[in-house]
Amino acid sequence: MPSLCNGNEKIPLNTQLLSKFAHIRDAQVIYPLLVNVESYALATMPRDTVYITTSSIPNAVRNK
Amino acid sequence: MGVFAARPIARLSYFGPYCCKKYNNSIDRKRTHYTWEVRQNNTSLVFIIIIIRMQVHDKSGNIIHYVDGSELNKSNWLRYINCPENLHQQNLVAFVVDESEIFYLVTRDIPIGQELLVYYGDIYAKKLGIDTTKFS
Repeated sequence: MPSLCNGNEKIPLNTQLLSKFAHIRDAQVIYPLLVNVESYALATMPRDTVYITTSSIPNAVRNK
Repeated sequence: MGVFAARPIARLSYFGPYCCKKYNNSIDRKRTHYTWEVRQNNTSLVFIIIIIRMQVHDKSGNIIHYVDGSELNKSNWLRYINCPENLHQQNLVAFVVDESEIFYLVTRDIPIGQELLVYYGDIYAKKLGIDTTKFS
């Protein structure tokens, strides 16, 4: 494992943290799924990119 | 409800357009809570009133139109993105293309499982009881 020298002791690098974003794809435009304009809003969600569930924000509007 | 990343999303990606009903009538605006006002000055995009409402202004600050995402069958998933409680949580910013379409720009890399959050402006934040000084 890679390490940093700090005086006489070695501090292991958190390689897991360093690689956290290593596999992120390049920035891209993410369009809604192409569906009928009369279809339900949830159906437009790009499921490979996002999912919808209970918000982490305590005062988020419920049942939007 | 909120929107979360199902995969890592890179900074400078963007989502959109915010698909919904557009209209110019301010009276219609009052009966919905899912409306952006669109004005010509892109920097003045403001999310207003009680629940979810956007406005886009012209260069003089005049409203071009309202973008209403209240109807489930005439809007898309971007309507489910919530407002953060502080600047640290925010990972999206709203912007306008061609004085018409609203997109959300990813301002930092978003890891899997993190909620997507866009600031809707001081007025809306105050309605939610959020301390807006955390965004200045």
